[in-house]
Amino acid sequence: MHELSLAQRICETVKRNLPPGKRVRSVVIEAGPLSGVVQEALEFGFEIVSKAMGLDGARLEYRKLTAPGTCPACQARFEVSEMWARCPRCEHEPVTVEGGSEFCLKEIEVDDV
Amino acid sequence: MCEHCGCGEPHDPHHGDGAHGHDHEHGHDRIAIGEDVFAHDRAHAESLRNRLRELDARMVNVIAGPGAGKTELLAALIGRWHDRGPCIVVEGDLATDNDAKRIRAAGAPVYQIQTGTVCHLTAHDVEHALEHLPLERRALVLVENVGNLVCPSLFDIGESLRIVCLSVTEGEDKPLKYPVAFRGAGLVVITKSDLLPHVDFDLAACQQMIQEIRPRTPTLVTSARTGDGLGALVDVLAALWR
Repeated sequence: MHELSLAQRICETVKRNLPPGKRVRSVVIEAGPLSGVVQEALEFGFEIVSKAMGLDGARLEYRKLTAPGTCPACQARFEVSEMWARCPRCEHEPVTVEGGSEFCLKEIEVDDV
Repeated sequence: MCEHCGCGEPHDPHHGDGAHGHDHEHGHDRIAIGEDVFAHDRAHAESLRNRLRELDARMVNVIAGPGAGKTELLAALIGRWHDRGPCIVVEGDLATDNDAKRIRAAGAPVYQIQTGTVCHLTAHDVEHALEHLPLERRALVLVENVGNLVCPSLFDIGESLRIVCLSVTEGEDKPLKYPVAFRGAGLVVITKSDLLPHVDFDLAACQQMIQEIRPRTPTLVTSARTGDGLGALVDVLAALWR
């Protein structure tokens, strides 16, 4: 359950970037298929941590990124969207993925308090 | 009502492309951040790596599930390393100092981090642990991470080499189930090879899966009990100074 630690890092970064007199409406996260982060666990962690850190009402917007994959069996090339991917052509698993470990706090949406 | 902010305005046109550009006249703004969530950890890891480089020391991060034989492997390694230079160990566990006792008995200075409920070590944890150990020039720093193939894989702790272990009693499909861990491995060590005659572990299939997840990942097959493969492991670690 490292997502609780990650939620804490996210909320710390949000607070650091929050202008005075503003409150956070939403927090946009972009995550690659091999980021190792479970969306539901992060949402659960974020709900707890955001309240505890005074960011009540902030909503987490989780955007899933894809990464280019190759099948080591049939050499097909495709976009991978999940950690446990198999080849869409021959169903071989595992597949080789390039990149995909991004886990980025993209932007926040704020309004006046 | 606007589903993004509940402000009562119609959905269009103020959201533009739907998910972006949420600029209202009543004070809604989007602030671009674009920060890696692990940036803080990477900064600590880089600082620790620089400090170790200045001392010509090397750190190895050992990751595996519970019971894969990490501690036994390290204890056997310590016995074979002693004439090569100083070796210190950082142990990470949720609770107890049982592993530290075993490492101490094997002859290396050790510091036990008890993480409580936290499932992984961070570079910051290791920096503090090293305050309690004699970090000499050209030291080999072995870090036994918390027994877990998920969370520790995400955290760079400042290591020169990441070893991911799996034992032959776990099933050869571990690389399939934990692709993130195996993709991050600089070396995969298959442990408890002395038990191969007693279990249905398909060594060739396991090695192939590792190569498919990350081509050209070096793999060693070892037994801490018989000593098989440990000479090769010592050679890999010694090569970190080349």
